[in-house]
Amino acid sequence: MAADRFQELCEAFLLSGLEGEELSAFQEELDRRGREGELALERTMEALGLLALTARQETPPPALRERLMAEIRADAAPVSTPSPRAEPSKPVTPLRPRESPVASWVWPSLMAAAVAATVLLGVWNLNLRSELTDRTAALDAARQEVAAVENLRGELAALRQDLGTIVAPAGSIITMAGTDTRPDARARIYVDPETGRALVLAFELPVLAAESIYQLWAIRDGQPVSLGTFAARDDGPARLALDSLDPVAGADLLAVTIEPAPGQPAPTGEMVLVSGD
Amino acid sequence: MSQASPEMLASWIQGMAARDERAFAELYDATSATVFGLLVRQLRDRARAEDVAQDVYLQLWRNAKSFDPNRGSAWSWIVVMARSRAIDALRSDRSYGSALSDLETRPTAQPMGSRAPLPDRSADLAEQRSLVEQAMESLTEPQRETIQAAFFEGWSHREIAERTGVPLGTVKGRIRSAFGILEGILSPGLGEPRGGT
Repeated sequence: MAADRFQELCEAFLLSGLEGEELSAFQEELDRRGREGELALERTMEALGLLALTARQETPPPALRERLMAEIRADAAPVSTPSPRAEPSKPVTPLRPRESPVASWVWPSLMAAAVAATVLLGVWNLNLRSELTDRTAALDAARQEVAAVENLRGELAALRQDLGTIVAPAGSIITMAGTDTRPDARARIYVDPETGRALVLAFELPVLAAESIYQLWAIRDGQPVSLGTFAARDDGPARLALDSLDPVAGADLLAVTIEPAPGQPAPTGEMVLVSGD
Repeated sequence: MSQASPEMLASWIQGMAARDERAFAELYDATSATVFGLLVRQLRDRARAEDVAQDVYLQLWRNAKSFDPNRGSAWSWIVVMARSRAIDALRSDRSYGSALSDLETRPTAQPMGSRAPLPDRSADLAEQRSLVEQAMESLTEPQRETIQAAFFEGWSHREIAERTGVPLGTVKGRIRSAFGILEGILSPGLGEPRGGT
């Protein structure tokens, strides 16, 4: 674009604004010229300021000054929240954007646009955060449900296995009775030689403190072998599954003692259950 | 504009950016007569000019931080803001139409230039005002009327051409002439008219 044409557009832009193709062409040329274009626009703006000097001076009403000073004082007051008096008493419409390209002299309009954009971005950000929070919560809830289902599935499989052991056609049962200190306690050990699995179900055993645990022993030739530990429950029999029958089959005696958690290599505590003869 | 140099204006605006209400009062006292005169001239309604002036000065107060003295003078910043507000007001209600009609039916346009006495403390701007008046005298009457219509009424080049029956190219040429002279005041040696009839 020729310099004269660009100057003409600068003048028209500042005087009355541009529209359509002329505005687009002006914006493109302003961008292309960079700082040189901005300087041309600023020079034209200065000339515009001179034109204003030709207006006849008119003294405004004193009340206008008083209103403005009241507004300014309210605005300048060091308050933590905006004062209602800081707003103009009459509606203040935004400065006309003047169909502006990005030029330095349109600071007020750009500032207003920047503020509006910041507010919009803030709201958008809040919405995104809220949506993200909601979706994260929903995902967590779904994960918990999946975990609960997996647990139930695992418990059901274990119950089926236990039931298979209890009703095994070739199975046998070893009974255990409470000792003198726990006369009501009792237990049954279901042995399934076909699967090589055994299931211990103990009844009427009290729930122990967290630092103690029940431990099952197989004693052969006077030597105890630990078969595992288990905890008592309030809502049903205590349970312990054994994946090997060898210790049970060769044992002279089976016994349950109370031991410090998580268990001991040899019995040290009170015996509460013992197998019959 | 009374009793203010460009440097003083810039200094007051910087004070306003620091929430100095005394700086605002100084700026208002120094510029309000010219700004209000400009608004009355544009709006032809003192009550509306008062409303717009209030908006303009509040905007100056609130946007003072955005003023950059390296990218234009304080006065041109104020004028652009005031003039934009006035044109907003003109275009936002019916008074714009009546203003256009009024201008259209005027037998002759008002002569350019303030005839108000110039303050003796604002030598720089007073000198500029005087130079502007002298420079505008060098324009032909059609040129002056055209730049008046564009500056004070906010008419586009096309609107001026349609309302005056003058070819668009001629309108553009007249406006360019006026700007050429004004820029010559800002940059001595460049003040030759750029053409136009």
